[in-house]
Formats: sequence, structure tokens, C-alpha cells
Amino acid sequence: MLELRLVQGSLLKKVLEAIRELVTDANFDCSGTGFSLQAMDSSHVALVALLLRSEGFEHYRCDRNLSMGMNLNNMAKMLRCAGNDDIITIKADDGSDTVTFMFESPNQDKIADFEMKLMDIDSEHLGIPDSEYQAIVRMPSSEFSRICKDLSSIGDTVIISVTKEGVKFSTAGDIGTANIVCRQNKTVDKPEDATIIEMQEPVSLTFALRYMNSFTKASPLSEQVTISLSSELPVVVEYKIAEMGYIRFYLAPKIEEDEEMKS
Amino acid sequence: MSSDIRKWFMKAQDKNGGAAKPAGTTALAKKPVLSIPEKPSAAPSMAACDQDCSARRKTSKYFASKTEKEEDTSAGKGTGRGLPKRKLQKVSDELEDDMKPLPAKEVHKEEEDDDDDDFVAPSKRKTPVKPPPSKKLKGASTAEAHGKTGLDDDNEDKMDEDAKTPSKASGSGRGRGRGRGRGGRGAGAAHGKTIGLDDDGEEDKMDEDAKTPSKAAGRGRGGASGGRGRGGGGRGFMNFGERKDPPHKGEKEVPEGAPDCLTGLTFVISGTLDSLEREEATDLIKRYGGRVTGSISKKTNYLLADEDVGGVKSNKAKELGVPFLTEDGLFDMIRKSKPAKATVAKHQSDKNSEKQQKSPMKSSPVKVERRDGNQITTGKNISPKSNKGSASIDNQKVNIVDRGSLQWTEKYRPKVPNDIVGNQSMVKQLHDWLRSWEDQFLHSGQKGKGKKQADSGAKKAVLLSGPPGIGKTTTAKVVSQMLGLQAIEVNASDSRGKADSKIEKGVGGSTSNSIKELISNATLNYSNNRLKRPKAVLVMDEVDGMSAGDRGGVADLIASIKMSKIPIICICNDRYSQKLKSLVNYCLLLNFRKPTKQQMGKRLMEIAKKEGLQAQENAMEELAERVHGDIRMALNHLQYMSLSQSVVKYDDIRQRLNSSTKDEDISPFTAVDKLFGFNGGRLRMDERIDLSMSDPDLVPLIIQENYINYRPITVGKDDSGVKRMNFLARAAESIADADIVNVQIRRYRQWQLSQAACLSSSIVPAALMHGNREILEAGERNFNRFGGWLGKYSTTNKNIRLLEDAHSHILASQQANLDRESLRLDYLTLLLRQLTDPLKTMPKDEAVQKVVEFMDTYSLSQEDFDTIVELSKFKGHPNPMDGIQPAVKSALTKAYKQGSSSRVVRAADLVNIPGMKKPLKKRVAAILEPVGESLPEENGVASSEGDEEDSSDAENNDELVPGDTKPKLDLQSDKKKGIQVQLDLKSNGNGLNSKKMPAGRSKASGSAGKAAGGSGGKRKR
Repeated sequence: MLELRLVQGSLLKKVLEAIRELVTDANFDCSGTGFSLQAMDSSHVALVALLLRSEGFEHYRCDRNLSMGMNLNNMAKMLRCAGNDDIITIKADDGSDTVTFMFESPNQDKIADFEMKLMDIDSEHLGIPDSEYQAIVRMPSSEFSRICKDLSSIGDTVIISVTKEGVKFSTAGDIGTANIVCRQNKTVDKPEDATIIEMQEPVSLTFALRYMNSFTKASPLSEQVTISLSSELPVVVEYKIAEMGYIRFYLAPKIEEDEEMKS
Repeated sequence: MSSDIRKWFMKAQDKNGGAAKPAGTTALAKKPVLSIPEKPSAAPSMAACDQDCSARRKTSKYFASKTEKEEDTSAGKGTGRGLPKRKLQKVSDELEDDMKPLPAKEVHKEEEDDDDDDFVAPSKRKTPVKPPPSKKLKGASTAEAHGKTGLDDDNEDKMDEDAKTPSKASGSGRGRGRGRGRGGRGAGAAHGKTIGLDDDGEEDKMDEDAKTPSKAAGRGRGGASGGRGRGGGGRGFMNFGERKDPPHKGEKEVPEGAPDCLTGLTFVISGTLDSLEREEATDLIKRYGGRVTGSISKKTNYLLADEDVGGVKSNKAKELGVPFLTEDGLFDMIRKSKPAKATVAKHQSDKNSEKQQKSPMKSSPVKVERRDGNQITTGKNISPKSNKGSASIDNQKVNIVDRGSLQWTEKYRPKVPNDIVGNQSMVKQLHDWLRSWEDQFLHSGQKGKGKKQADSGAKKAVLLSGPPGIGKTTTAKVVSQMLGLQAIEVNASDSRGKADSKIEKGVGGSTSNSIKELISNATLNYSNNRLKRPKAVLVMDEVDGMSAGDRGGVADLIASIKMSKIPIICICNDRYSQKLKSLVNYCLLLNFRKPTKQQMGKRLMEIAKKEGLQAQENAMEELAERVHGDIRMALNHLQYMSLSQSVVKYDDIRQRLNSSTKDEDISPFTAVDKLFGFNGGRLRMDERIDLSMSDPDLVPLIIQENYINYRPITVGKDDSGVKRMNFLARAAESIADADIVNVQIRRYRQWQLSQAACLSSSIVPAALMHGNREILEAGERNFNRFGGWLGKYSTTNKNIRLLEDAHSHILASQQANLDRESLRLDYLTLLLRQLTDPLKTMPKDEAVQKVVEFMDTYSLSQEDFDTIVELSKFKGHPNPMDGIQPAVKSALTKAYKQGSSSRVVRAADLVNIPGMKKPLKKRVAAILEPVGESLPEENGVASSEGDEEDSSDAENNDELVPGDTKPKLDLQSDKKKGIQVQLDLKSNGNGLNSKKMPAGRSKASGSAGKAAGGSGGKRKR
């Protein structure tokens, strides 16, 4: 038996909007600690990891671990029927092949039940090790999203270089090149506008902008985005979900012509 | 669990050890399977039918199986058909074979048949058939008596025989009605009788019995076949390649033997056998586990031949000391192998049921009794041959199958490259290609250009092609896996069109961009070895299915290949598909072939073994052959069969796959070959329609091209050739009819007529003419030619086009006003003479000049010259260019070229001088010239024209014409040039910078001018 009651229904909607472009089908794993998802995109280039901790739910009951395979587009269709301030309850019985979404309007005068069929999805689960990143950049999510959007009109890859001074996003395309440098900036009125760089050593990596743009769809979830870079590892773009958890995107770097040779 | 139980059941039955299996269930089970809900008594009869069927199958397996479909047709129809056929025997005796009743599913008809048979069949026969209905009953009843007495421990096979016979007795009428009343059946009737008498008899004796009466009883049919035999003899050696029908076709009872009694023996069949068709004999041998090969070798155990025709095979056999074996010898061999145990019970049961079936009016108690017996016996001894199927079905009913939900195709998907059946060299190539890919394309920069150039032939992508189901996708995956590459498969169900160019849209969106990104992006992996990043391989499956919903499709794929940083494996079925034409240039082509049946058979055996399925090797090979190398299909069939039986035998495969043969692409040539082949007359109508419809455009064309080359076998002896001529006439008439129909179809879109078109364009000619192809002209290859019509049609069009060009030039020259037809018919010969005769007769320079002048007069270009020559060529006539020295030819070309700088053919449109819109002007000129003959204009223009000519002449002086004659001539020609000249003036106004222009123009007029007085005079109309 599974029952998750989420007061901020809109949050679930936003989460779904953030990931459904990358991933079409995914398994939602429910355990005692929380509601999570891990899925790779079809070409195994990017990975989404979502965690909503149990504490974030008003009511969280999960008798035994449960994995629910859902088509995210279908799920989005259902959630679209929920109002922005509706309370969403997710219910599923053990062993059943459906999941129920219940939407309650804030003043309890309307209750909607949506039952969705589950799918059998076999997906490989990657064990993602906790690792030290060479550079971690925290910046306003809107700023990051803006940068990606701007750069993508010039080129299709972004080179993210982190130095002591700041983080440089640069691209090159047929029409020219573009560089955007964000300096470290801790002295702002609001903490969420700060740009903070923690760096062990300078890093410079190349990524596909298309994916980055997909990641920025999660911007509504959080004011701040954390980008963790390490030369040997995929980049991690993390959006914290207030008090509940996070959504993390992992992206492998572009293949460099002479990458092997250098190493 | 349950499957185990089932197996247990099966084994128990096989051993006869199992307690009587609930017979009721057998019966019940059988009923649904065979779908005979009609009569309550049907159930027990089922078993009999079953056996009956299998038994009959043995006599005429080959054809019987063929006609499976026909079973659906009612027996009545069958009989109806049989009659006329009989009459037409000469022409369509082969069809008779087709009519042969099919064992397996006929049962439901049986009863009706029987009713009919009793009345209809006898009357139908030309010669009286021994067993009249009453006898049949008698035979059956004796059998029944058997059943009651329960003579039990006879040879099982004998049982079968017995079982067979009564059934035949009953079915004989039907069979005969269908035009296939074979001795076996006639014999059956008598046989039943004999059995009644000596049921304990030795099996051989049985057979004897079976045989002898068959001859007597089957006289009717015997007569027919005898007639046929004679016909065949008459044809004699003329029809080399066509095998005569066996003289005693179907007259012998085909023996039963122990399964696998021929295992390990290899046979070669030669010549015509006594009673079996070649195919039947092959079948028989294979059924018992023997091998049949095409030619004699040391491994051959026997040469099966009834007559020593002294062919290659027999000679070689003698050489190698391979023993000869006659058909009877083979039969004996099989018979001897028969185990001594007889299963009378089954026999009984068969008879019982037969009886019941035959006489539904019989009292019910008897029936009940019988049924009991039946049940017991079936339970006890299920002969592997006949009852197995039903028994296992039975089991299935009892237990729910739990063989695992996994498809075998998945379960036994190769895990390592060595598991892949066949195409190992392709696998190896793919492996090598993949392994070296990275060095070749990713690091080429480091390793220096030298290497890259050395491997310039290397392709960045690979294209695997081959028929479905032979493991292309599997190969791609397995090889990738082995190399530690991550294969990402994209097939037709994924969106893989052109990527949305807007990067802002992200990877999702209306069109999927992930493919595009993938090819330049590393893939994610958190493996233990971080330095070694996993490489991806893109497997583009079903690329020939692209384009439907995939925007950009193949073009986009090519773009991807060009920029890809990962290997791309494309997979398609047809590499020659139009869609892939551009793709193949970028791909290393690996063509997968069907695995041989031996390879496949081996693999299938392994799998069958693992699944606890008993399978004969030759059964598996047959399966492999039947599915045309499609392993996937073979496995699916096997799995499906495994649900209902635990032993798969040769016959099962044949039976099963007869109805569901895989559609194979057939080329129009193959279709025509089949239609016109010796056996073309044996094809069923629907087969013929299928063949001729395989390509409704090309097949008729090929037929029309080739039908004359065939010597129809149906005419028999035909010394004068008159008969053949008549056939040809009829075929030609039919083809002509088809043409009329075809016009209706094409012009008025009357597609409902396509059947008629196909009939008269293909089937009728083929039916008339099929036979031996021969060449009519020495040096011709004795293969069907491609239809000549298409080529001729396109030549016609081309010639018309060329003629039209020449025509328009001549019109523009103002020298003639004629239509195209008269140009061709009246002028062309004269023009040709003018063009070629001088070259042959006159001295070179003079001739060349004359011809060039002539050409200029008529505004003929060199292409027109060629056209005229070309159109005047006829087969059997000398080439008009013969007798012209090459030197003269080249001089002509040179002279013409020389003049071309100062010449514009007035027909417009063909000459394009850079920088000017000349063609347009010319066209205007050509159109308006006749009108523009007014003198004032002419005068006004004259002076300027003169200037112009001067300037141009200044250029051209050296070439051809003395300058002084020109102005005069120009004046003459100006008439025609009014407008043209004005235009020239304009262009001259630009300055004489464009020298070509004026020159050209002057030529239009001045070509004649240069030609000097004579031509000038000519020019005036």
C-alpha cells in the first residue's frame, strides 16, 4: 500500500515537466525514505535522478518498496488536470498495476481521481558514486537558463571553463563565437542571486547545449542551480527542491577528437 | 511442472505402458482440434480419420500436402472437378495430382463424402471399381469385428495399414471423384476385406494383399495412369528434362517402417521410379531418416533406380560400386524395419471409428461399445506416426503449458558471436571494422594523414543487409557487446527524423534530437574504470523503413554519419532499395546470406534438445528450408509446435509449413520459368495467378518475349509442327486479347479487369506453351529474355525526340515546310544521301565543305546529322556511314566545329552564348521571320547588317568566306532576319565587345552567305 500526500501539487507538475522531455518512460521507486526516480535518456547520454524525501510529504506511507513504471507523457496528461494549488495524493496498492492520482482542491470542494495504468519498464539502474568534484558552481537558475538559451542560438556545444575568477560559458558556431563569463558574486541582497564558485582546480569541459537546454526546464523548481564539474566525470546539474530533495541531471561530455591521446 | 506431467503422459503413451489414457479426453480433445462439431459420432471417428489421413498421406504425400488448401473446397466440388479433368487428361493430367485429396483436415467432409461416394463415385469411374459400397461396409464391419474380438498384439504398423485401408475404402469414391482415385485407395477397399480375413497375418502378407487388390480394384485409375504413361512415352526423349510419370504411379502401397529405419543411409535417385514420383520418393526416404543427395559419391549407399537408363549417375554408381536399389527394394527395406509388434487395438479403433463414421445410422449401443474399445486402444498404443499429435494435444488440454513465457527467439538469442548461425565471415568483418573504427576515425589526426589516406576506402558506417530473421540485429548487438561497446538501437518505431534545428528546444520536442546528439556525445557510465569511457554504437535498424515519418530520413542519416564520432551500424533488408542508394556510398556493405539448412538444422536441433523436444535432424533441416533461412521464423514455428507435441518429425514440419509457407519474393523471371516449366501444367490455378501477379507488368512482357521459344509438351508428337503452330497462334491471340484488356485497365483504370488480363496475358499462353525452351536462332542464350517492349518503347520515344529536334531545325532554316512525319518518310532518305554521298565519293575537302554547307542550309546541327544517320539504320541494311573514311569523318567534324563559332543554328533554344539571351532572341526570330519580310525594314537594317557582317567577317575571314561576297548575300538573307537584326543592333549598341554575338548572328543569315552564290539562290523561296 502506498499513499503519498503532497500539499504542493504544483511541485509534482513542475518535476514532471522538467524530466519528461529527456525521458519518456521511467520507473518511480518508492521506499520508506522517499520517492525517487532514475532514468537515462534513450541515447544513454544523460541521466535524471530525482529524489523527493518522505519528510516533504504531508502524509507518507509506503509499506514496502514499490517500483512503478510510468509513461511520463501520460502522467503529465493526468497531472495537467490538477489545479496549481491542488493537493495531490498518489495511491497504489501492492501488486496492482495501476496508480491513482487524487486531486483535492484547497477548500476541499472538489476531489478528482485519476487512475493510470502502469507499465513494465526494464531499465538499468546506475550506481552513481559520490565523488569529489573539481569545481562546483552555484548560480541563479534563471541566469543559467538564460545563458544556455543565448548560447544555443550561436552554437550547439558549450564549453564550461571554471577558473578562480569566474565561470566562462563559451560556444562557437558558424556565425561566430560567444563567451559569457559569470564572476563570483557573494554580495547580493538576496542569497539566491549569488554566484558562488568552489574550485579545487580549473576545469574546462564541453557539453551539448541541447541537453543543457533540456535541463533548464527544471528551473521553476529552484532559484539556484548547482553545476558540479570534474574532468573525468559527467557534469551534474542539480536543482534543489525546497526541503524535499533534488533533481539532478548528469550529462556526459562531448567526444573529443584527441581525448584518448591526451590521457 | 505441468509440462513435466505432460511429458510423462507422452512417454507413457509411447511406451504403451501408460494406463489407458482417458480416452474420452482424447476424443474430446480431438474434436476441437479437428473442428468437427457436426455429428456426435464424429469424435471417435476422428481418431480413425487421423490415422486414415496419415496413412493416406503416405501414399501420396507430396501432392497431398500441396493440396491442403483445396481441402476447404467441398468434396462435392472436388468430385465435380474430377470429372472434366478426366476427360482432359491429355492436356491437364498433371492437374489431377493437384486434385488429390488431402489427408489431414478432410475429416469433416468425410461423412458427406461417403454418402456421395457410394452413389457418385462408382458412376464416375470409367472402369468398374471392385469395391462397391456394400463391400466397403463389409470391410469396415469386418474390421469392426476385429475391434470387438480385440485381436491385439499385432504389429503396430500393420495396424496402421489396416486402419488405412478401410478408410480408403470409404474414401475411395471421394478420392476418385477428385480425379485421384489411386490404386491405393481402390486397394484399400479390397484391403479392408482382406484384413477381415487374415488380420493376424504377417505384415508382408498384408502388404501383398494390399498390393494385389489394389491393382485389381484400382483399375479405373490404373487405366488413366496407363494412358498418361503412354502419352509420356510418346513424347519420349524429345522432352529432355521432363521426367515421365512413374508407370505405376500410386499403385503401390507405400510401406510403413520403423521410424528412422533409414538413418545414416544416403540415397541418390535416378530416372523414373516405378510408382513414386521423385518428390514422393525423396519424401519417403527423408521421413525415415535417410538422406537424399543429388549426385553419387563414395558416401552414397544406394542408387535408387528402377531402370538403368545409363545416365551419368548409374555410370558413376557402377564405377564406385554403389549398389542399385529398386523401388521395391526400398519398400522392402522399410518394411523389414517394421517392428514385429502389432497394434491391433489401434487398428481396431480405426476401423471402429471408420465404421461409425460411415454408418451413422447404426445402433447406438454398438457405437458406444466401439467407442470404448477405441478409447482404450488409443490410450494404449499411440503410434508415433498418427496419434501423437492428438495425444499431445490432449496433454496440453490437461496441463496448462508453462514452458516459460519467454520466446525462444529471445531465449536463444546468440550471446557470443560464435553462436550466430552462418555469416561468420560477415561477423568477423563487422568485428574488425568496429574494432578499428576508433583508430581510424577518431585519432586519425594524431596518427598522421598518411594512415588516413591509406585507408581512404574505409567507411565510417556499415550497412548490414539481408533477408529478415537471419540475425543481423543480433550480430550488431553481440559484436558491439563483445567489444565493450554500448549498442544503442534505434529502429523504425523510434522517431529518427531530421533533428529540430533549434537547440533551445532541447532534446525532446517534436522531432527527437537525441540521435543527432548521441553521435557526438560520450555516453554516461559510472563503471569502475573511469578512464575507459564506454563507447556507444548506434544501431540504426530498418533503415529502409525510414522516410515514412522520418523527416529528412536517409539524408539526415548520411549527415549524421559524416559528423559522427561513434560507429553507426545500419541495418536493412534490401540494399538495392532506391531509398538507400545514397546511403550505400557511405557505408561498408556487408551482405548477410541465409544460413544453409545444415547450419540452421544443427542449431535448431540444439535448441530443440534444450527444450526437451525430440526432433529429427532432417525434420529440422526441412524446417530450415521451409522458412527460407529465417531463423526467427523457424524458432517461432518450433516453439509453437512444442506446445502441442513433444516429438517433431519430418512429416509434422511438412504438414505444418505447407499451409503457412513463407512468402518469398519471386522475380518475374522465376515466375515465368515456373509458368513455362515442364511442371507448369501442374500448378494450381491460384498458384499461376500468384505467379503472374507477382509482377503484373513484367511477367506478361517476358512471356510475350519468350513464348515462341517454348516447345509445348502438351502437343505430344508433332512432326510437322502444325500443332505447335496452332498453339502459338492461340497464345498469340490470347496475348493480343490481353493487350486489349490492358488498355482498358491502364487507360480507363478498369482495374477489376486485372484478373482477366493476367489470365489472358500470362496464364493462357503459359498453359498452352509450357514445355521445353529452345533457341530459335544460333548463338542465342537459352534463357528467358527480358521483355523487349520496354526498351523498344523508350527507343521510340528517343527517336521521336531526336526527329523532333531535327524537324524544328529544318523548319527554322526556312528551307522546307514539312511535318515530322513527312520529314521522316520523305525527306530523311534524301537528306541522308546529301549528307553522306559526297563524303563517300568526292575528295575530302570538297566533300566536307559541301556537306557543311548543306547542313548549314538546313540548319542541321551535328546532332541532327547523327540523328539522321541513326534513324536510317536498319537491321540487315548497311550502315549509311559505311564507306566513309574516318579521316573524312573527323574532317567533317572539324570543319563543322570550326564553323560553329560563327554559326548559330536558327532553331533557337539549342545554342546558348554566354552573357546574352540569345536563345530567346533566336526563338523569336524563328517564329517571326516569315512575317517579317517587309522590305522597308529590310532596307533600314541593311546597312547596319552590313557593318555587322563586316565585323564578324573580319573575324571569320580566315575561316571560310571571302569578305566581299558577303554584303550582297546578307541583303538577300536579311529578309528573313528582320527582327533578328534589330535585336542585334541593340546588342551592338553595347559596343562590339561581344564579338561572338554578331558573329553568330551573321552566321544565321550568313552561313548561307558564306555558302556563296549558289546556296544563296537556293535559299530564296
